[in-house]
Amino acid sequence: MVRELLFGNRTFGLLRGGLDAGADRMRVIAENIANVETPGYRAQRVAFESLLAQARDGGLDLARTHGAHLGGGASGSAPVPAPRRELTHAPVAPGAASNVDLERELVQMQKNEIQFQALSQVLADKYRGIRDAIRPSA
Amino acid sequence: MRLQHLDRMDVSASALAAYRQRMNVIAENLANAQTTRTEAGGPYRRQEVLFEAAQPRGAGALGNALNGSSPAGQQVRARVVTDERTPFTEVHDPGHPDADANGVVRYPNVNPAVEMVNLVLAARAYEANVAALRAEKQINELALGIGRG
Repeated sequence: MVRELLFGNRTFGLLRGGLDAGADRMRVIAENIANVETPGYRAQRVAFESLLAQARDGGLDLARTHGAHLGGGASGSAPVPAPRRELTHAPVAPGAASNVDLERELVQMQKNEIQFQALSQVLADKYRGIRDAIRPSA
Repeated sequence: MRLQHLDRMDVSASALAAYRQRMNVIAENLANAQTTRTEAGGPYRRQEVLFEAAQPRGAGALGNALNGSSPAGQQVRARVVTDERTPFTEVHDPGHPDADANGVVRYPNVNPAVEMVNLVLAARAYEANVAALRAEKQINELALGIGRG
C-alpha cells in the first residue's frame, strides 16, 4: 500500500523509461561514431518517445459499446514502452563506408546528455520529496 | 566486481586505437615521402589503414542477426595494408645514385597533400570518439547522482 503510494506513480515509470532510453541512446551514438568508417555499418537509433506517443494515443484503444465497459489503452494508464533500437535506412554517401553522419551524431549526443541530465534531476528531486515526507520533522 | 555496462566504453576505445594507428601510419608515410631505398628493395610504398568490424568477445551470431549489431557493441579494428595501386612518382635525375639506366629515379607513391588531408580527418574522428567517451562518463555520473541526497 505504502509502496503503491510512493512508487506506483506513473511518473516514475516514465522517468525510468526516459533514462533507460537516454543511456541506451548514448551507447548507440558512441557505437555509431566508432564505426563511421567501418564498411557496411548502418547507423542505429533508439526509439522511445515515438513508442510512448503511440501507446498514449491508444494504439490499443478498444471500442466501447456500453458505458460500463472498460476501455483499453486509456491515456495515462498505458504501460510505458521499453526503448527499442532501430537501424537507419539513410543511403550511404558515395565514397563513404557507412551511413553514419558524424556531425549529426555529435549534435544528438549533446541533446541526449542535456535531456538525461534533466530527467535524472527530476527523478532525484522526486526521491528527495519522498525522503523529506517520511523523515520525522526536526 | 565487474560493471558490465562500462564495457560499452570499449567500443569508443577501439575506435581511438584504430584512429591512432591511422595517424601513426600517416606519420610514417610523410617521414618516408622521399625514401628511395628500402630493405625490400625499391622505393618506400605508402601504407594505408583500413577499418573493419571486430567481433567483440562473447558476442553471439544470433544477437548480431537479431539486432543488426552485437549486444556488446560493435567494435572497430584497424588493418594496415600496403598501397599497391598508386604508382611511384618518376623523376628524371641521372645524377641520383638510385637512378636507373634511363636516368629515372622512382620516388615513393606518397602524396603529402593527401596524407595531410587524411591526418586532419583522422584527428577529427579521434576527437569525436573522445567526446563520446566523455559523454558516456558524464551520463554514468549523472545516473549515480540520482541516489545521492
